Amino acid sequence: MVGSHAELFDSIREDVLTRLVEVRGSIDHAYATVAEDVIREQFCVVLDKMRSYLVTQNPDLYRSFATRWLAMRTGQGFAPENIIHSMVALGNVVSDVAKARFGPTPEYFSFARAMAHLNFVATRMLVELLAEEVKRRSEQHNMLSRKAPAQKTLMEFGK
Amino acid sequence: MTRLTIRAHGKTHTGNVREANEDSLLMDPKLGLYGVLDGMGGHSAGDVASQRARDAIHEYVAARHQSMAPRDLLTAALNAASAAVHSEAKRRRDRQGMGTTAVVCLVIDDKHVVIAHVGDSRAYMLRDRRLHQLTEDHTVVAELIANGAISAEEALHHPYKSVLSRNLGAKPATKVDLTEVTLQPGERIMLCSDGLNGYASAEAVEQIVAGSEDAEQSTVDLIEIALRGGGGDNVSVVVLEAGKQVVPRSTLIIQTTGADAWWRRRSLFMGACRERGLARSPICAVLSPEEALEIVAGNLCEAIYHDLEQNSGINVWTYAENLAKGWFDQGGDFRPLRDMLDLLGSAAAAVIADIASGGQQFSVALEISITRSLTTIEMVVGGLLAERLRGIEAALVKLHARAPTQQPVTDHPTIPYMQAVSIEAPAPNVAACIDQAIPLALVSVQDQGEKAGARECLEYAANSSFDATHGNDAVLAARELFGMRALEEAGIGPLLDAADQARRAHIEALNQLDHPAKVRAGAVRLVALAHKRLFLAISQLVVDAGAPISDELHRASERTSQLRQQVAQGERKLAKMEKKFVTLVDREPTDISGTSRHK
Repeated sequence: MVGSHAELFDSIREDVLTRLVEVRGSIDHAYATVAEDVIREQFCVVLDKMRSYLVTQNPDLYRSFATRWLAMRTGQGFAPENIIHSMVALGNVVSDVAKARFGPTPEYFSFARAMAHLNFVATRMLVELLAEEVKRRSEQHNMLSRKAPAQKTLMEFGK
Repeated sequence: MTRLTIRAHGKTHTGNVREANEDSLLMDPKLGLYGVLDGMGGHSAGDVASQRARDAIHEYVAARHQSMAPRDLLTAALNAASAAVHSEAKRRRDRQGMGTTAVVCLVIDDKHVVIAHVGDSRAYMLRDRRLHQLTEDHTVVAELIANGAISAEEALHHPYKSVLSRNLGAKPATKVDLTEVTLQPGERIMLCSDGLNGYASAEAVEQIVAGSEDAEQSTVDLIEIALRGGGGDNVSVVVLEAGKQVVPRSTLIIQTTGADAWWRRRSLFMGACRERGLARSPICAVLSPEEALEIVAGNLCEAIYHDLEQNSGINVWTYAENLAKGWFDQGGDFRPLRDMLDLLGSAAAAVIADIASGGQQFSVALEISITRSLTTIEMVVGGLLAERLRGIEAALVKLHARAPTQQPVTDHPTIPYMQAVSIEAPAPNVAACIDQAIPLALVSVQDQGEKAGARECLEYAANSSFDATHGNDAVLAARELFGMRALEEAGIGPLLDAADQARRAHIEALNQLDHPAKVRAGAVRLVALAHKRLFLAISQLVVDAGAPISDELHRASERTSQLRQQVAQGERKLAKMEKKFVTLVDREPTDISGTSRHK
């Protein structure tokens, strides 16, 4: 079944890509301003990762991608929740295209189930990464809060 | 005319800015007549114009629909409306210049419709999940584009971009554009005023019209998206749906049987949660086991049920927000929440497994819906964590800003040693002590392994200590020393090591001398001050030397951006390689030893 998911994914891949480019402004407003060839390339990366996951079911492989994706998008100024929402929207578009192409067939349902699980896994990974970041920043904040009263100003070092 | 299978839904809204709604809807299922009219004109004349035109069209079609061909009927009806509005405008001074757009759809039978329009209200058709615009705006700018007088880009900023070239009311009769459409089951026609297309992206509109399984809901969503886009104008929408029920059978199953099947297994879900130890979660610490089950598991079960029934996600979203926000507001960590969500997911999986015995496709469809509900919960948690992260980052910024706020640097001399420093000449016995210490210090430095620059540091300190004129020469001395070891060659470390070696040797030498303690203390104080000034001067040079490096940092930052793009390309290559790898794995299954099964 895993193999057939990948085959099904491959068969709709171009339609998915076209659809993603068309509706990119709805996936995230910021995507609307990105040039078509640039956003196409970025979506290609995500689709490749999705396909890899459908075949390997290896969350670690997907996690490393999610980490880089979150870092890159955050660096570009995307809010973390928007990154999560857009990731889910990308998966939903794949399912929608499959539904339009194959209708309510057993193959579609099996594929849609795999995509729903993928979306869940991707969301969970992004949320966990976010939670780790919150934890790190909280620790940093606590440490600085303790140090702050003992800190000398620059000028005090010269006295 | 049979139009039994064409259903229509319409909605209109004043918007966020306008005080009155000048749009009018025309909805007559009996006649199969639907329309959107967008009135214009000051002093409330806009709504009068659109209502008068609507009534005129309706009356005309109702009176003649059995005797005239549909195309002629609509053309004549719109002209009758134009005459009625024009006459009203001429009759009353305060209504002069009023007019209205109109896009009107007449259903001929269960497949065919005719659309007539004047102005910039639009008609679209949904076919193959794509939204096609059926009408062309009758605006001055559109005509200029059509004539090739201006480009589409110039049109965006053209002063007449909103000025209509045609409307109902400007003249007693006007040219009406007609479009005839043949509909297939499931296809939709959407009529709208410019309050929609002016405030919502084409992609978003398409997604709503194509994606919504309920035409009535799509009108609500379309109004909502226009309002979220600013709602600067009145917005009106009519959506017509052709043929049989377009909701896929699978979705119907989920919405009815799926919800029921889920709800019937409520006790199973609660039991699964109990078995998995839901009540032991720290999140339920203040609740009794029964309360924990009822509040956490029971409410989720109910939320999923309602979402399945309504084909929405709002109930689960609200549930998750209450649960996670409440926990985070108490200062709770993510980990217990994650464990709780895993537990609930596992209990839901048990219910799905039970339902699976009732039919494979049905249970799979239900599993998809419930997995989506669980994803919704994750999204909510992600949003709350993002909010929390922003709060911590803001607190961190405040924390960093606190020190300079308490003691502004600008209130003090930035470089204290650049001020005129008055150094009292040492007493003769102190001067003698300093003088005698130098040779001893030099020997000491040599014994320790003289570091480059240590000798010069000693020389400066000695001179500075007993000669008042050397008080401001620390910077010059530092520059000479700094020049000996340029930062980019050896770094500042060795120079500071040398200065430190000189200082320690100098103080040790003074303490070895056979002078009264008071004299030695005076000498040590002066020598220590001299070394301190030298250190400060060196430090300042380091800071100055860093200035060009900060420019370098800016350049490095730009370079980082370029590298980031290269990383993106690298990502792409990596993904391709992984794809290749995965394809290979996919096609050539291997056993544990790595050998191909086919060999």
